[in-house]
Amino acid sequence: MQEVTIVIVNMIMGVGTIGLPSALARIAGQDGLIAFLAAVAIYIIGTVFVIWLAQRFPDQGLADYSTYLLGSVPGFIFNILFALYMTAVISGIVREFAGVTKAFLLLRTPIEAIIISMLFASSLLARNGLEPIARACQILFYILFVPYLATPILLTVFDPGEFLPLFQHDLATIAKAAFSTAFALAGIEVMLVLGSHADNPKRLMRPALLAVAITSVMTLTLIVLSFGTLSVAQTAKLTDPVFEMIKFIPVPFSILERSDIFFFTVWIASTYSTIVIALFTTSHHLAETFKLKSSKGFVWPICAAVYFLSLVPKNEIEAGMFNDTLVVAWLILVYGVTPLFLIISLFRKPQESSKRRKPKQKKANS
Amino acid sequence: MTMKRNRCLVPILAMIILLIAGCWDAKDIDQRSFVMGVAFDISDTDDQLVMTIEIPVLTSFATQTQGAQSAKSLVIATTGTSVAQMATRFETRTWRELFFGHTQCIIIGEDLAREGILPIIDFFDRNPRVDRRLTLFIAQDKADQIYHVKNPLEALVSVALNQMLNTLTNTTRVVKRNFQEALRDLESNGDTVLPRVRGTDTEIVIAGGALIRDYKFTAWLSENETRAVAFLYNSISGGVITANVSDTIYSYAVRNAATDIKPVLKDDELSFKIKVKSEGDIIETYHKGSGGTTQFDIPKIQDKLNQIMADEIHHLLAKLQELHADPIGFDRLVKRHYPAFWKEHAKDWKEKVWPEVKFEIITEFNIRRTGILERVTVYEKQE
Repeated sequence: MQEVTIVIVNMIMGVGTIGLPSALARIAGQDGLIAFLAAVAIYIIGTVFVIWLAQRFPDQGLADYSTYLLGSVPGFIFNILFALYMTAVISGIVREFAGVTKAFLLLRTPIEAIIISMLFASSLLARNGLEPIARACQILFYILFVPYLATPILLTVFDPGEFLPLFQHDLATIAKAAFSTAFALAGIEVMLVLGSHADNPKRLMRPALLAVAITSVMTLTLIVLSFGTLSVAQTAKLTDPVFEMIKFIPVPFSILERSDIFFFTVWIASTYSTIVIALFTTSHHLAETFKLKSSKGFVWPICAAVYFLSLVPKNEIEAGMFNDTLVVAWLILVYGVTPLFLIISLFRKPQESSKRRKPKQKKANS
Repeated sequence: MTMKRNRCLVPILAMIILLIAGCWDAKDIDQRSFVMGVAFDISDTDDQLVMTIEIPVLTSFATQTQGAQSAKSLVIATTGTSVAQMATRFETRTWRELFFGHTQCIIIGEDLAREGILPIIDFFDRNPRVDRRLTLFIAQDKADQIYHVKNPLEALVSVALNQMLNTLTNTTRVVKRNFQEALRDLESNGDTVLPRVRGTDTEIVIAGGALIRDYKFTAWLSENETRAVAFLYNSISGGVITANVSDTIYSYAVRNAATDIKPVLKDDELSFKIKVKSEGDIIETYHKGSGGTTQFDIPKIQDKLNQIMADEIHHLLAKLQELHADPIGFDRLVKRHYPAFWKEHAKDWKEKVWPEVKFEIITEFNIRRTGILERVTVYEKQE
């Protein structure tokens, strides 16, 4: 089950992590910390819904049990909508990644070139199935984890007073911040598709909750450090405060002129793993929907769709609005559709095992 | 079939590797002008801004050449109405792109700072390539003069300025505040204290501070006042304080110092308890008179040091109250500890509440060593 945890962590930790402290500070000020904890609580509820549903249908993917629960035509429509949602999510991630990379690193590189490079690299791994993805995620997890552990020790500037006073905003504001930022933790929904590929789907809950706990602690660390190092006001003002915060890590003997570049590498790696998992999930879901043996053939068309969709927003503000729409879609999927499926499944008991053809995939090892 | 496909894939991948290896953003070091320092003034002839930049001449560093023809830096200036506009205008003089990623200091002239520093700093605050550890200075008189100082020891004025500020251990009379810290203060209430810089023909002096109130330069702070600010900012990392006890001057070297400020609200009356703690060594005793030796009166010297710092801090706070300026951020402490009181008085903090605030200052200076002379080293006056 270790691989399940690592795949979920890699899916959740992605492009949105760097902007999360800013969003929290902007909406709820120092209460952003409370809002994040509320977001985690909301997210755990969503995780429980998703995993319960995956456990109800241990031998089937979303494409199979959605048609079983809803009927073939509504189920097929839902499956296409889910694939579109996932495509839109990848587009949002890719666009944000390209925007930040262009602003911080590659000023003159066309955004299209950044998007194509990332999609090309991601599709190579996504086409090779779940087993190599899980292996790659294991390597990337340690690349991610070490800097997260080291950053609090290395940062010398920190004002704990920045977190006071707490509870100065009304409940509605904190709730708004919590729901807005819960999307930054989005990713558990891939288990609706991939849950059946776990070695023992009946025991998915523990690794899934462990993954949520790990990502919550890692993200909380970044929020606390951003608030304490830069101040809540500065964090709210900056679009990507984590990169600015990292610059304050003193590098001995001038080994690195810019310490933030190292963190950039880590961030690109985590974004890459998110895109790979999302690409694979979407292609696999489509293969299950169309009852195909292999999902490989869907990866390139999805990449093409992602490329064009990611270029629809004309600027960063429109890209932000695009992501706001995705927040609503995500909330409907996790807190609307998933509980609805759970309720329906109480009346339509799951079949013992699926007789439908499933795309060939190796099970993730325990 | 798979072998055939792989054979096709290999040349395609090879082509891709060759084609995507390039980079749109590739910029060799010799194609960039590294702006190490920037200065801003108001033009003498019109209302336009004057932007002066210091760029290192990289070839002179590489070849270690010396002499009049081998200047280490190029100082150029232009005028305009905004920072971005002026930065662009420089590009009509040099084909090398201006790069602000290594900028060490920004100096704003006194006259311009009086009008406001916010429009100047926005350009740097917005630029992701700017290193927020750079230092913001206020120049006494014109800022561009600083870059024209010809110090034979220093190749680049901006580097020298930054090094001086970051390695200053022999004086407590400057306030170390990098760009990020200054922004943090300014965004909180518009007030801060920035280091003062002035230049002569051959040397640069960083001493004293410039009080910024509502983003505008308001008053100079003397070196002693700046020392009090440094203690309140908790940014003391060294320096020497002299205390005259019974006509003998004791030089106390600060080894560490910490200040704790706590707001106290009692019967709707706000006060602050300021506790300054320091440890250090006596590194010199200076007495002109002749005579024998006497015992070190450590408690007496400590009392004197306590009194000096308490008086300096009291004096500084009285001045800040008079000027309705709160660069230390006492307002932030009230907001954190007494949010209800803050909500009630936030609007009239600087004008009504801050000038009336009382302070209790407790200083605790501890002398740990007296150098390698372990016993009595002070000569007594012989009448």
